[in-house]
Amino acid sequence: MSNGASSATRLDAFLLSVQARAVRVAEIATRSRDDALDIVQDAMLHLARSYGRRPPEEWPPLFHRIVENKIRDFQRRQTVRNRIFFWRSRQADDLDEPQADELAPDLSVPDATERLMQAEALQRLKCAIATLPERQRQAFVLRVWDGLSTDQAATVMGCSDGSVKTHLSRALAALRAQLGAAWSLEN
Amino acid sequence: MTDTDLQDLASADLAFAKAARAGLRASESLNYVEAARLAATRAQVRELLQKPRPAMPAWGWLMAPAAVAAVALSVLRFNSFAPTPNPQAVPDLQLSVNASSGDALMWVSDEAGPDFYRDLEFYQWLQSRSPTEPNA
Repeated sequence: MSNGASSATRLDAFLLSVQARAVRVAEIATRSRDDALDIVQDAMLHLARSYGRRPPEEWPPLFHRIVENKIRDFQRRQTVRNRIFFWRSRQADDLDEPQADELAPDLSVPDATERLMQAEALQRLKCAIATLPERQRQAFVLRVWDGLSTDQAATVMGCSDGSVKTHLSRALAALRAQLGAAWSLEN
Repeated sequence: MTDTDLQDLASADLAFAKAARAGLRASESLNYVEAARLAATRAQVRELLQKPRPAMPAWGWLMAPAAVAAVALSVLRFNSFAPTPNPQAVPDLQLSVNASSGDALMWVSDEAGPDFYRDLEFYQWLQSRSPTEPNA
């Protein structure tokens, strides 16, 4: 019982540490905050049911894999739904509109103009990530955003280390080409 | 979660990746309602893990050996009731088949092989098991 309690506490801490990022990642992929929350909630329960008693060091790649699989399932369902209900398909540029919380003032940056530019640059980056092909988006999110190693990202993506490096390199090239060489969050 | 250093990237890519990582991580936030939703899910997760795994009930531990014993007993009974053919029966039949009596059995004996004798043995056994059979 105490073992179950301690693993529950550790899993809770792990999920708390990754939940916000997972929601953001899913939001970029699905272009919907509510769907992203649903996906993350499902992924949490799936991880607990299937892998909750595994060693904690195995949780990060497993959780990311579950989230990615659920995103893919969602996109497949969405594709089928859009074919059937084509007049109700979601607008592709939903993400282009910055949300209120993204433009909220960041107290660490003193100047209001800088804050606005920072938010705008970040929004452009998110839109660019959303337009990447699936495998490139996965490689970028896992390696750059989540900070997984190449090995762990390869495990999550189900491919070789070399493929992860190739996808990441292409993703970075595409993002830099799309955002321009002068893009920076600091200007 | 561990952060890798991305040192395998080219310098321009590395600078871009680091800036993107910093910006994206700074944007991770949940509002009150979203945080509450996820907290409720985490509470479900804790409950799921703290609940002990469902064990086999006590009647299961009693029934499993009983089932094994029942199967073993039925196998033993089958073996003990299976009758062994009378060793005298087959030679007698062979004699009667091969006898030069000129009846129908003589014609059969010309083509009689192992199958024929096995069938004879079987029918004799069947006859011995059926007291109501007119020929018994």
